[in-house]
Amino acid sequence: MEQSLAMGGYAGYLAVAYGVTALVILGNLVAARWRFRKTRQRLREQLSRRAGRAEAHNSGATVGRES
Amino acid sequence: MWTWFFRLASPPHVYALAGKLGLWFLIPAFALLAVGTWGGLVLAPPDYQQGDAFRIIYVHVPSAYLSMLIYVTMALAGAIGLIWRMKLAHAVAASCAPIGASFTFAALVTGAVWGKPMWGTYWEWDPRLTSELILLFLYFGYMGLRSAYEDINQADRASAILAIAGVANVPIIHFSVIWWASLHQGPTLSKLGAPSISGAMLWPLLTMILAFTLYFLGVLALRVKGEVLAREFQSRWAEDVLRGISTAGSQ
Amino acid sequence: MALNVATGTSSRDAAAEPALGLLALFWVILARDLRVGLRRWTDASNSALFFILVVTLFPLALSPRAEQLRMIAPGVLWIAALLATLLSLQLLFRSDLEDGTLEQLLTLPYPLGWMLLAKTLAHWIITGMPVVLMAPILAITYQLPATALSVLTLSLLLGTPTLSLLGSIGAALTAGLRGAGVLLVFIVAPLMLPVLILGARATDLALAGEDPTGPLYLLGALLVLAVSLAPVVAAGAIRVSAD
Repeated sequence: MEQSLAMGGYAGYLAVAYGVTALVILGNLVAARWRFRKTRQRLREQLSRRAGRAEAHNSGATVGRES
Repeated sequence: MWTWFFRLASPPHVYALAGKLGLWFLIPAFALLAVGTWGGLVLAPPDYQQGDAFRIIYVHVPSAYLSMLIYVTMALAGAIGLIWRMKLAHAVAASCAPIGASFTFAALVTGAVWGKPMWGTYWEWDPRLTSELILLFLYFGYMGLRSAYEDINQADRASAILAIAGVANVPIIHFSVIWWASLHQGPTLSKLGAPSISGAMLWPLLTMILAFTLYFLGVLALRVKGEVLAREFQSRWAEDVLRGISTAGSQ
Repeated sequence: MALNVATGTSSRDAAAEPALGLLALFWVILARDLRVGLRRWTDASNSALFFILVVTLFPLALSPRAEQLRMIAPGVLWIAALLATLLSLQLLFRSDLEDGTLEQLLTLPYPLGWMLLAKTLAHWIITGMPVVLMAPILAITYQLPATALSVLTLSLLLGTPTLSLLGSIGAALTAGLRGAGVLLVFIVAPLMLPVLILGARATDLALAGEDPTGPLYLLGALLVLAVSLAPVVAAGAIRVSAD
């Protein structure tokens, strides 16, 4: 068992190669999720700012008509 | 006859589908990754020349293959986006770049780690490793250009043109690098890759290649979701999604 | 004044039949760009001076021994030529974009790629040709034998226009961006590698007394490919940048 784990002395190289690949695989998944959330967050903020501006504009227009 | 296609390609539908597709691809991808890793590390016999070091092939070759597949996908999607003015295609192209760059990086690192026991050095100017390094620069250039443009439409079209110019150059670069290496190759150089691969060694490799491909499609779907939302920001359905009113595509 | 063709045709009637033949148009743009380029001669001479400077650095940093210099000469001269081209590219479309010449070109009833080919040729004559002419002189200081000198010059003559054409794509893609110098280098340098490899190797083969015609033919093929495709791609890129 120990012999097969040593991989003929190449265990270190194998660990680095498989480890880096695993990191890339998991990292892509995390990055994709993170980026989606960030985009959604940014768009939501933009949306609420736009809504706020529209409201201000509307109220301004009604005031103008009344006077 | 085309209505189903347009329905399929309509942004709200794509948005809703992308999330589901992501899972459909990722779950089998991870199952196959587990099977392939087990097969590669445990079941496959050690190579008679390279010993157990050859097992790096099961992560190196799929990464290298994916890095090139993604670049071609990116250029194709960019071309489709340019010709048919399809926002969805541009969203796919934009999503490809970071995934492709990361797998190019993985192919480089695993190649270097494989090179140490085989060549006695981490970096040999081997044509395949050199090509991967140039591919990484191509990805960096693409991402740099895309992020330099503030306007998303301009970024889409400019980077699509660059990807097409790049993909037309890739074969020229590849062959010139092979030719270059053939002039300098020392007699002791042994190449990365499997010398005469047997069935017990081959099936884990094919499994891993399939797993990596499915994984790419899954992550691509997850990324496309966000890109579609950003590009469709002005539309009614995107607003509904952002407000949490609708989950889109449920109609 | 900026472009008399533009005012000549588009002011009369943009939709009307082109007033100039394509060849005549090519010469008008070429002559105009050469005149403008020579007026800004410091810009033009910068790339040639840069070429000399880079070539001068290597013997100082490595060693002035004749046999070693001879060995590195093909690579050094080719790298210096590539760097000089990269440096000059930022100027390719910038002044035209700033003074509005490019927008006028876009409105002309002529193929844009054809006009960009003329502009790129003018750019190469002003920045590339001095490099090609200077290379054999500098190669002598590297103790390069006469047979290799002619191959070096020929390879640069075939290769540097290809570099300029590939560069025109990158320059067109980044024309509208502020401070895009490094980005431009990142975009086009990988595309230029085959030319660098072929050019340096052709000179290397000649230096070793072997037959360099193979890579020289390939350089010629790449030039033909670049002449026919690069201006079209650059035209598409200019349209994006001008938006």
